[in-house]
Amino acid sequence: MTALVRSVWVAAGLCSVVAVAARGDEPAQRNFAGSIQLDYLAVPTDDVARRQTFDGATIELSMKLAYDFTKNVSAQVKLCYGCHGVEVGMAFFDLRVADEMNFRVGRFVPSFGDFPLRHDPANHRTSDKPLPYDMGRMLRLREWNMGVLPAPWVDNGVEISGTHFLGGLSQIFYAVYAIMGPKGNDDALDFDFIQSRTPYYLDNNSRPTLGARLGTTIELGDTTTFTLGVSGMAGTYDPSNKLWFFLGGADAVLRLDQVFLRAEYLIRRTQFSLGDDPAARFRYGPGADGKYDDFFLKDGFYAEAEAPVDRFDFVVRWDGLRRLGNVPTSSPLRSNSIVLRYTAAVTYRLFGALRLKVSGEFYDFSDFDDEVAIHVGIAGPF
Amino acid sequence: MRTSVAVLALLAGCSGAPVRTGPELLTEGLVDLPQDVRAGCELAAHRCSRCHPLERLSLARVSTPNHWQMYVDRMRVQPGSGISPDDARTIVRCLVFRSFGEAGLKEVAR
Repeated sequence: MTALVRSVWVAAGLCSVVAVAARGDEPAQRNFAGSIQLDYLAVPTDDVARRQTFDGATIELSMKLAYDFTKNVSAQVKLCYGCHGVEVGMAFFDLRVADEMNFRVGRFVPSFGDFPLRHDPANHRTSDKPLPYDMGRMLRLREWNMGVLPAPWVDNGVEISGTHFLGGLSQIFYAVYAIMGPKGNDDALDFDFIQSRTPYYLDNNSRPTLGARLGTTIELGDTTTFTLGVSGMAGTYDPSNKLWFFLGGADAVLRLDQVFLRAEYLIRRTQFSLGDDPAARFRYGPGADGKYDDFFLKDGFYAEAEAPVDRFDFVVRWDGLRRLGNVPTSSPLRSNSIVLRYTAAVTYRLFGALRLKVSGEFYDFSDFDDEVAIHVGIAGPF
Repeated sequence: MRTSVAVLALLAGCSGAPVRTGPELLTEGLVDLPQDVRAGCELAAHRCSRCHPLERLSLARVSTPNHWQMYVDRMRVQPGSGISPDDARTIVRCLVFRSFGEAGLKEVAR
Protein backbone atom coordinates (compact mmCIF):
# COMPACT_ATOMS: atom_id res chain seq x y z
CA MET A 1 0.00 0.00 0.00
CA THR A 2 1.46 3.32 -0.98
CA ALA A 3 1.85 6.18 1.45
CA LEU A 4 -0.75 8.14 -0.51
CA VAL A 5 -3.40 5.44 -0.22
CA ARG A 6 -2.63 5.02 3.48
CA SER A 7 -3.00 8.76 3.97
CA VAL A 8 -6.36 8.77 2.20
CA TRP A 9 -7.60 5.93 4.40
CA VAL A 10 -6.43 7.71 7.55
CA ALA A 11 -8.03 10.99 6.44
CA ALA A 12 -11.27 9.22 5.58
CA GLY A 13 -11.27 7.48 8.93
CA LEU A 14 -10.71 10.71 10.81
CA CYS A 15 -13.47 12.45 8.86
CA SER A 16 -15.83 9.59 9.70
CA VAL A 17 -14.98 9.85 13.37
CA VAL A 18 -15.58 13.59 13.41
CA ALA A 19 -18.81 13.23 11.47
CA VAL A 20 -20.15 10.59 13.82
CA ALA A 21 -19.04 12.49 16.91
CA ALA A 22 -20.44 15.79 15.70
CA ARG A 23 -23.93 14.47 15.05
CA GLY A 24 -26.71 16.27 16.82
CA ASP A 25 -28.24 19.69 16.61
CA GLU A 26 -28.16 20.83 20.23
CA PRO A 27 -27.10 24.43 20.70
CA ALA A 28 -23.55 24.90 21.95
CA GLN A 29 -23.09 25.57 25.66
CA ARG A 30 -20.22 26.98 27.64
CA ASN A 31 -19.26 26.81 31.27
CA PHE A 32 -16.66 28.68 33.23
CA ALA A 33 -15.13 27.25 36.41
CA GLY A 34 -12.01 27.62 38.44
CA SER A 35 -10.34 27.30 41.79
CA ILE A 36 -7.95 29.12 44.08
CA GLN A 37 -5.69 27.81 46.79
CA LEU A 38 -3.56 30.02 48.99
CA ASP A 39 -1.21 27.97 51.13
CA TYR A 40 1.35 28.91 53.74
CA LEU A 41 4.14 26.41 54.31
CA ALA A 42 6.19 26.66 57.48
CA VAL A 43 9.16 24.45 58.33
CA PRO A 44 9.74 24.97 62.06
CA THR A 45 12.75 22.64 62.05
CA ASP A 46 14.73 24.83 59.62
CA ASP A 47 15.55 28.50 60.18
CA VAL A 48 15.91 29.19 56.45
CA ALA A 49 13.74 26.60 54.76
CA ARG A 50 13.84 28.47 51.46
CA ARG A 51 17.11 26.67 50.80
CA GLN A 52 15.26 23.39 50.50
CA THR A 53 11.72 24.25 49.45
CA PHE A 54 9.28 26.98 48.50
CA ASP A 55 8.14 27.86 51.99
CA GLY A 56 5.94 30.81 52.83
CA ALA A 57 2.83 31.70 50.87
CA THR A 58 2.07 30.28 47.47
CA ILE A 59 -1.02 30.60 45.38
CA GLU A 60 -2.51 28.25 42.82
CA LEU A 61 -5.17 29.58 40.52
CA SER A 62 -6.95 27.80 37.72
CA MET A 63 -9.59 29.05 35.32
CA LYS A 64 -11.32 26.68 32.94
CA LEU A 65 -13.69 27.25 30.08
CA ALA A 66 -15.56 24.21 28.80
CA TYR A 67 -17.45 24.49 25.56
CA ASP A 68 -19.92 21.80 24.54
CA PHE A 69 -20.46 22.10 20.80
CA THR A 70 -22.80 19.11 20.82
CA LYS A 71 -23.41 16.19 23.12
CA ASN A 72 -20.40 14.48 21.54
CA VAL A 73 -17.97 17.28 20.82
CA SER A 74 -16.47 19.59 23.41
CA ALA A 75 -13.43 21.74 23.98
CA GLN A 76 -11.76 22.77 27.20
CA VAL A 77 -9.20 25.44 27.91
CA LYS A 78 -7.63 25.84 31.33
CA LEU A 79 -5.14 28.43 32.44
CA CYS A 80 -3.23 27.95 35.65
CA TYR A 81 -1.17 30.34 37.69
CA GLY A 82 1.26 28.88 40.18
CA CYS A 83 4.86 28.91 41.25
CA HIS A 84 6.13 29.34 37.68
CA GLY A 85 3.65 31.82 36.30
CA VAL A 86 0.83 31.32 33.86
CA GLU A 87 0.63 27.92 32.20
CA VAL A 88 -1.82 26.28 29.83
CA GLY A 89 -3.17 23.34 31.79
CA MET A 90 -5.65 22.26 29.13
CA ALA A 91 -6.41 23.13 25.54
CA PHE A 92 -8.08 20.22 23.82
CA PHE A 93 -10.99 18.90 21.84
CA ASP A 94 -12.94 15.82 22.84
CA LEU A 95 -14.72 13.81 20.16
CA ARG A 96 -16.93 11.14 21.72
CA VAL A 97 -17.91 8.55 19.18
CA ALA A 98 -19.25 6.23 21.85
CA ASP A 99 -18.68 5.58 25.53
CA GLU A 100 -16.02 3.12 24.44
CA MET A 101 -14.22 5.54 22.14
CA ASN A 102 -13.31 9.12 22.87
CA PHE A 103 -10.67 11.06 20.96
CA ARG A 104 -8.84 13.82 22.82
CA VAL A 105 -6.56 16.05 20.80
CA GLY A 106 -4.54 18.99 22.06
CA ARG A 107 -2.85 19.80 25.35
CA PHE A 108 -4.10 17.74 28.27
CA VAL A 109 -3.18 15.57 31.24
CA PRO A 110 -2.66 12.08 29.81
CA SER A 111 -4.27 9.23 31.74
CA PHE A 112 -1.84 7.95 34.31
CA GLY A 113 -2.77 6.80 37.80
CA ASP A 114 -5.65 7.92 39.97
CA PHE A 115 -4.45 11.08 41.66
CA PRO A 116 -4.22 13.24 38.51
CA LEU A 117 -8.03 13.06 38.29
CA ARG A 118 -8.09 15.07 41.53
CA HIS A 119 -4.98 17.18 40.98
CA ASP A 120 -6.87 20.48 41.28
CA PRO A 121 -6.27 21.87 44.81
CA ALA A 122 -10.01 22.28 45.28
CA ASN A 123 -10.51 18.59 44.54
CA HIS A 124 -8.09 17.10 47.05
CA ARG A 125 -8.06 17.68 50.76
CA THR A 126 -4.37 18.14 51.52
CA SER A 127 -2.45 21.27 50.61
CA ASP A 128 0.16 19.34 48.68
CA LYS A 129 0.29 16.23 46.52
CA PRO A 130 1.48 12.73 47.32
CA LEU A 131 5.27 12.44 46.96
CA PRO A 132 5.23 10.30 43.76
CA TYR A 133 3.29 13.14 42.12
CA ASP A 134 5.08 16.05 43.81
CA MET A 135 5.56 19.09 41.63
CA GLY A 136 7.69 21.24 43.88
CA ARG A 137 6.03 21.44 47.30
CA MET A 138 8.12 18.74 48.97
CA LEU A 139 11.13 19.49 51.13
CA ARG A 140 14.48 18.85 49.40
CA LEU A 141 12.71 19.14 46.07
CA ARG A 142 15.86 20.05 44.13
CA GLU A 143 17.96 17.22 45.55
CA TRP A 144 15.18 14.78 44.69
CA ASN A 145 14.15 16.52 41.46
CA MET A 146 10.55 16.27 42.66
CA GLY A 147 8.41 13.14 42.35
CA VAL A 148 8.28 10.24 39.94
CA LEU A 149 5.74 11.94 37.66
CA PRO A 150 4.90 15.50 38.77
CA ALA A 151 1.17 16.18 38.61
CA PRO A 152 -0.49 17.53 36.70
CA TRP A 153 1.67 16.24 33.88
CA VAL A 154 0.41 18.40 31.00
CA ASP A 155 1.49 17.52 27.51
CA ASN A 156 0.59 17.89 23.84
CA GLY A 157 -0.72 14.93 21.92
CA VAL A 158 -3.64 12.67 21.22
CA GLU A 159 -5.42 10.21 23.48
CA ILE A 160 -8.01 7.58 22.72
CA SER A 161 -9.97 6.46 25.74
CA GLY A 162 -13.18 4.71 26.59
CA THR A 163 -15.24 3.15 29.26
CA HIS A 164 -17.62 0.21 29.17
CA PHE A 165 -20.28 -0.20 31.81
CA LEU A 166 -20.85 -3.70 33.06
CA GLY A 167 -24.01 -2.99 35.00
CA GLY A 168 -24.48 -1.34 38.34
CA LEU A 169 -21.42 0.62 39.33
CA SER A 170 -19.00 -1.70 37.58
CA GLN A 171 -17.05 -0.54 34.57
CA ILE A 172 -13.79 -1.04 32.74
CA PHE A 173 -11.87 1.83 31.19
CA TYR A 174 -8.80 2.29 29.06
CA ALA A 175 -6.68 4.98 27.47
CA VAL A 176 -3.83 4.97 24.97
CA TYR A 177 -1.96 8.08 24.01
CA ALA A 178 0.97 9.61 22.15
CA ILE A 179 2.44 12.77 23.64
CA MET A 180 5.60 14.88 23.41
CA GLY A 181 6.92 13.35 26.62
CA PRO A 182 9.41 14.60 29.16
CA LYS A 183 12.51 16.48 28.10
CA GLY A 184 16.21 16.64 28.87
CA ASN A 185 19.49 17.47 27.19
CA ASP A 186 21.69 14.98 25.37
CA ASP A 187 23.97 14.86 28.43
CA ALA A 188 21.04 14.60 30.85
CA LEU A 189 21.17 12.85 34.20
CA ASP A 190 17.39 13.05 34.69
CA PHE A 191 14.34 14.83 33.28
CA ASP A 192 14.61 18.60 33.15
CA PHE A 193 11.08 19.58 34.14
CA ILE A 194 11.72 23.25 33.42
CA GLN A 195 12.10 22.37 29.74
CA SER A 196 8.58 20.98 29.77
CA ARG A 197 7.17 24.44 30.28
CA THR A 198 9.75 26.81 28.80
CA PRO A 199 10.30 28.46 26.50
CA TYR A 200 7.60 26.91 24.30
CA TYR A 201 5.34 23.88 24.40
CA LEU A 202 7.36 22.17 21.69
CA ASP A 203 8.83 18.70 21.46
CA ASN A 204 12.61 18.41 21.83
CA ASN A 205 12.90 15.31 19.69
CA SER A 206 11.12 13.75 16.76
CA ARG A 207 9.68 10.78 18.57
CA PRO A 208 6.45 10.63 20.58
CA THR A 209 6.20 9.14 24.03
CA LEU A 210 3.59 6.41 24.21
CA GLY A 211 1.43 5.49 27.17
CA ALA A 212 -1.61 3.53 28.24
CA ARG A 213 -3.90 2.98 31.17
CA LEU A 214 -6.30 0.16 31.96
CA GLY A 215 -8.61 0.00 34.91
CA THR A 216 -11.79 -1.35 36.35
CA THR A 217 -14.29 -0.33 38.96
CA ILE A 218 -16.10 -3.16 40.72
CA GLU A 219 -19.33 -2.74 42.64
CA LEU A 220 -19.08 -4.27 46.10
CA GLY A 221 -22.29 -2.79 47.49
CA ASP A 222 -24.79 0.01 47.00
CA THR A 223 -22.24 2.63 47.99
CA THR A 224 -19.07 0.59 48.00
CA THR A 225 -16.73 0.34 45.03
CA PHE A 226 -13.22 -0.84 44.38
CA THR A 227 -11.22 0.69 41.55
CA LEU A 228 -8.00 -0.84 40.28
CA GLY A 229 -5.78 0.56 37.56
CA VAL A 230 -2.42 0.06 35.90
CA SER A 231 -0.58 2.64 33.82
CA GLY A 232 2.54 2.78 31.71
CA MET A 233 4.51 5.29 29.68
CA ALA A 234 7.73 4.98 27.67
CA GLY A 235 9.86 6.95 25.29
CA THR A 236 13.03 8.91 24.80
CA TYR A 237 13.54 12.29 26.43
CA ASP A 238 16.70 13.68 24.86
CA PRO A 239 16.99 15.45 21.48
CA SER A 240 19.04 12.58 20.01
CA ASN A 241 16.57 9.87 21.10
CA LYS A 242 19.21 7.87 22.93
CA LEU A 243 18.02 8.17 26.52
CA TRP A 244 14.99 6.03 27.31
CA PHE A 245 12.63 6.04 30.24
CA PHE A 246 9.99 3.56 31.32
CA LEU A 247 7.30 4.53 33.79
CA GLY A 248 4.83 2.17 35.40
CA GLY A 249 2.16 2.53 38.01
CA ALA A 250 -0.61 0.75 39.86
CA ASP A 251 -3.44 2.32 41.82
CA ALA A 252 -6.30 1.14 43.99
CA VAL A 253 -9.20 3.04 45.51
CA LEU A 254 -11.69 1.52 47.92
CA ARG A 255 -14.72 3.67 48.49
CA LEU A 256 -16.92 2.95 51.47
CA ASP A 257 -19.76 5.44 51.01
CA GLN A 258 -18.03 8.79 51.72
CA VAL A 259 -14.84 7.23 53.08
CA PHE A 260 -11.94 6.74 50.67
CA LEU A 261 -8.94 4.46 51.03
CA ARG A 262 -6.38 5.08 48.30
CA ALA A 263 -3.00 3.62 47.42
CA GLU A 264 -0.71 4.09 44.44
CA TYR A 265 2.75 2.95 43.41
CA LEU A 266 4.86 4.46 40.64
CA ILE A 267 8.26 3.39 39.35
CA ARG A 268 10.45 5.01 36.70
CA ARG A 269 13.59 3.64 35.07
CA THR A 270 15.50 6.53 33.57
CA GLN A 271 18.54 6.15 31.38
CA PHE A 272 21.17 8.86 31.77
CA SER A 273 24.23 9.99 29.86
CA LEU A 274 27.52 8.62 31.15
CA GLY A 275 29.45 11.41 29.48
CA ASP A 276 33.07 11.24 28.35
CA ASP A 277 34.49 10.67 31.82
CA PRO A 278 32.10 8.75 34.08
CA ALA A 279 34.72 8.51 36.81
CA ALA A 280 34.67 12.28 37.19
CA ARG A 281 30.94 12.61 36.62
CA PHE A 282 29.62 10.07 39.13
CA ARG A 283 30.22 9.42 42.79
CA TYR A 284 30.26 5.62 42.52
CA GLY A 285 32.57 3.57 40.35
CA PRO A 286 31.74 0.87 37.83
CA GLY A 287 30.22 -2.48 38.69
CA ALA A 288 32.00 -5.82 38.94
CA ASP A 289 32.00 -6.07 35.16
CA GLY A 290 33.91 -2.81 34.90
CA LYS A 291 30.96 -0.99 33.35
CA TYR A 292 28.93 1.91 34.68
CA ASP A 293 25.20 1.51 34.93
CA ASP A 294 23.55 4.10 32.70
CA PHE A 295 20.21 4.29 34.50
CA PHE A 296 18.60 4.86 37.86
CA LEU A 297 15.31 3.72 39.35
CA LYS A 298 12.97 6.05 41.15
CA ASP A 299 9.85 4.75 42.76
CA GLY A 300 7.28 6.09 45.15
CA PHE A 301 4.04 5.26 46.85
CA TYR A 302 1.28 6.71 48.93
CA ALA A 303 -1.50 5.24 51.02
CA GLU A 304 -4.16 7.47 52.47
CA ALA A 305 -7.54 7.44 54.16
CA GLU A 306 -10.02 10.27 53.84
CA ALA A 307 -13.21 10.60 55.85
CA PRO A 308 -15.72 13.44 56.14
CA VAL A 309 -17.26 14.22 59.51
CA ASP A 310 -19.75 17.05 59.53
CA ARG A 311 -17.89 20.17 58.34
CA PHE A 312 -14.54 18.42 58.61
CA ASP A 313 -12.60 16.11 56.33
CA PHE A 314 -9.83 14.10 57.95
CA VAL A 315 -6.92 12.68 55.99
CA VAL A 316 -4.03 10.52 57.10
CA ARG A 317 -1.39 9.73 54.53
CA TRP A 318 1.85 7.80 54.37
CA ASP A 319 4.00 8.32 51.32
CA GLY A 320 7.56 7.93 50.20
CA LEU A 321 10.16 8.12 47.48
CA ARG A 322 13.23 6.03 46.78
CA ARG A 323 16.06 6.48 44.32
CA LEU A 324 18.36 3.63 43.38
CA GLY A 325 21.43 4.11 41.22
CA ASN A 326 24.53 6.17 40.70
CA VAL A 327 24.45 9.88 41.46
CA PRO A 328 26.44 12.86 40.21
CA THR A 329 29.41 13.80 42.34
CA SER A 330 27.63 16.99 43.36
CA SER A 331 24.48 15.23 44.59
CA PRO A 332 23.90 14.86 48.34
CA LEU A 333 21.92 11.67 47.66
CA ARG A 334 23.44 8.20 47.84
CA SER A 335 23.00 5.19 45.59
CA ASN A 336 20.05 4.15 47.74
CA SER A 337 18.18 7.15 49.12
CA ILE A 338 14.77 7.17 50.73
CA VAL A 339 12.36 9.72 52.10
CA LEU A 340 9.27 8.72 54.01
CA ARG A 341 6.60 11.20 55.00
CA TYR A 342 3.75 10.98 57.51
CA THR A 343 0.87 13.42 57.09
CA ALA A 344 -2.19 14.26 59.16
CA ALA A 345 -4.56 16.75 57.60
CA VAL A 346 -7.93 18.25 58.32
CA THR A 347 -10.11 20.53 56.26
CA TYR A 348 -12.89 22.66 57.62
CA ARG A 349 -15.67 23.87 55.35
CA LEU A 350 -16.01 27.57 56.12
CA PHE A 351 -18.92 28.33 53.83
CA GLY A 352 -20.03 27.08 50.45
CA ALA A 353 -17.13 25.20 48.96
CA LEU A 354 -14.47 27.25 50.70
CA ARG A 355 -12.26 25.08 52.86
CA LEU A 356 -9.59 25.77 55.40
CA LYS A 357 -6.80 23.21 55.04
CA VAL A 358 -4.39 22.42 57.83
CA SER A 359 -1.83 19.65 57.75
CA GLY A 360 1.27 18.55 59.58
CA GLU A 361 3.98 16.47 57.93
CA PHE A 362 6.97 14.62 59.28
CA TYR A 363 9.76 13.95 56.78
CA ASP A 364 12.08 11.04 57.50
CA PHE A 365 15.08 11.48 55.17
CA SER A 366 17.82 8.89 54.76
CA ASP A 367 20.36 11.54 53.71
CA PHE A 368 19.28 14.70 55.53
CA ASP A 369 18.01 15.78 58.92
CA ASP A 370 14.40 14.89 59.52
CA GLU A 371 12.03 17.82 59.18
CA VAL A 372 8.54 18.93 60.14
CA ALA A 373 6.36 20.90 57.76
CA ILE A 374 3.09 22.64 58.50
CA HIS A 375 0.62 23.78 55.86
CA VAL A 376 -2.20 26.22 56.47
CA GLY A 377 -4.24 27.08 53.44
CA ILE A 378 -7.57 28.06 52.10
CA ALA A 379 -8.97 26.58 48.92
CA GLY A 380 -12.17 26.55 46.97
CA PRO A 381 -13.73 26.27 43.55
CA PHE A 382 -15.72 29.01 41.90
CA MET B 1 -2.18 35.11 69.82
CA ARG B 2 -4.41 37.72 68.24
CA THR B 3 -4.31 35.75 64.98
CA SER B 4 -5.36 32.60 66.77
CA VAL B 5 -8.29 34.38 68.38
CA ALA B 6 -9.35 35.76 65.00
CA VAL B 7 -9.19 32.32 63.40
CA LEU B 8 -11.20 30.78 66.23
CA ALA B 9 -13.76 33.55 65.94
CA LEU B 10 -14.03 32.92 62.20
CA LEU B 11 -14.52 29.20 62.75
CA ALA B 12 -17.08 29.83 65.48
CA GLY B 13 -18.96 32.22 63.23
CA CYS B 14 -19.04 29.75 60.39
CA SER B 15 -20.18 26.99 62.70
CA GLY B 16 -23.40 28.86 63.31
CA ALA B 17 -24.69 28.00 59.85
CA PRO B 18 -26.44 24.67 59.37
CA VAL B 19 -24.20 21.97 57.97
CA ARG B 20 -25.20 20.54 54.60
CA THR B 21 -23.36 17.53 53.36
CA GLY B 22 -24.17 14.75 50.95
CA PRO B 23 -27.58 14.81 49.25
CA GLU B 24 -28.82 17.56 51.59
CA LEU B 25 -26.38 19.89 49.93
CA LEU B 26 -28.21 19.36 46.65
CA THR B 27 -31.76 19.36 47.97
CA GLU B 28 -31.40 22.34 50.29
CA GLY B 29 -34.16 24.89 49.73
CA LEU B 30 -36.06 22.75 47.24
CA VAL B 31 -39.78 22.31 47.85
CA ASP B 32 -42.18 19.71 46.47
CA LEU B 33 -39.28 17.52 45.51
CA PRO B 34 -40.44 14.66 43.25
CA GLN B 35 -39.27 11.25 44.37
CA ASP B 36 -37.20 10.62 41.25
CA VAL B 37 -35.47 13.97 41.69
CA ARG B 38 -34.62 13.13 45.28
CA ALA B 39 -33.22 9.81 44.09
CA GLY B 40 -31.18 11.65 41.48
CA CYS B 41 -29.72 13.96 44.09
CA GLU B 42 -28.77 11.04 46.29
CA LEU B 43 -27.08 9.38 43.34
CA ALA B 44 -25.30 12.60 42.35
CA ALA B 45 -24.05 13.04 45.91
CA HIS B 46 -22.38 9.66 45.74
CA ARG B 47 -21.13 9.53 42.18
CA CYS B 48 -19.93 13.11 41.67
CA SER B 49 -17.94 13.29 44.90
CA ARG B 50 -15.63 10.59 43.52
CA CYS B 51 -13.54 13.27 41.81
CA HIS B 52 -14.59 16.66 43.19
CA PRO B 53 -16.49 18.30 46.05
CA LEU B 54 -20.24 18.33 45.65
CA GLU B 55 -20.27 22.10 45.87
CA ARG B 56 -18.96 22.12 42.30
CA LEU B 57 -22.49 21.22 41.23
CA SER B 58 -23.93 24.26 42.95
CA LEU B 59 -21.34 26.51 41.36
CA ALA B 60 -21.75 25.24 37.79
CA ARG B 61 -23.23 27.83 35.47
CA VAL B 62 -25.64 26.15 33.10
CA SER B 63 -27.92 28.02 30.77
CA THR B 64 -30.41 25.37 29.64
CA PRO B 65 -31.67 21.98 30.86
CA ASN B 66 -29.92 20.28 27.95
CA HIS B 67 -26.69 21.88 29.06
CA TRP B 68 -26.82 19.71 32.19
CA GLN B 69 -27.12 16.63 29.98
CA MET B 70 -23.99 17.58 28.07
CA TYR B 71 -22.21 18.46 31.29
CA VAL B 72 -22.96 15.16 32.97
CA ASP B 73 -22.13 13.20 29.82
CA ARG B 74 -18.72 14.84 29.72
CA MET B 75 -18.11 13.80 33.32
CA ARG B 76 -19.59 10.34 32.85
CA VAL B 77 -16.86 9.21 30.47
CA GLN B 78 -14.08 10.14 32.88
CA PRO B 79 -12.16 6.99 33.88
CA GLY B 80 -13.65 5.35 36.95
CA SER B 81 -16.54 7.81 37.15
CA GLY B 82 -18.95 5.01 38.01
CA ILE B 83 -21.67 6.99 36.24
CA SER B 84 -23.52 4.69 33.86
CA PRO B 85 -25.82 6.05 31.14
CA ASP B 86 -28.82 5.23 33.36
CA ASP B 87 -27.17 6.98 36.30
CA ALA B 88 -26.56 10.03 34.17
CA ARG B 89 -30.23 10.30 33.28
CA THR B 90 -31.20 10.07 36.95
CA ILE B 91 -28.56 12.59 38.04
CA VAL B 92 -29.56 15.04 35.33
CA ARG B 93 -33.13 15.11 36.68
CA CYS B 94 -31.84 16.31 40.03
CA LEU B 95 -29.58 18.95 38.54
CA VAL B 96 -32.16 20.21 36.07
CA PHE B 97 -34.82 20.45 38.79
CA ARG B 98 -32.44 22.42 40.98
CA SER B 99 -31.69 24.87 38.20
CA PHE B 100 -34.95 25.09 36.27
CA GLY B 101 -37.70 23.42 38.29
CA GLU B 102 -40.50 21.33 36.79
CA ALA B 103 -40.39 23.23 33.52
CA GLY B 104 -36.81 22.14 33.03
CA LEU B 105 -37.69 18.50 33.56
CA LYS B 106 -40.35 18.73 30.84
CA GLU B 107 -37.81 20.19 28.45
CA VAL B 108 -35.32 17.44 29.13
CA ALA B 109 -38.00 14.82 28.61
CA ARG B 110 -38.72 16.10 25.14
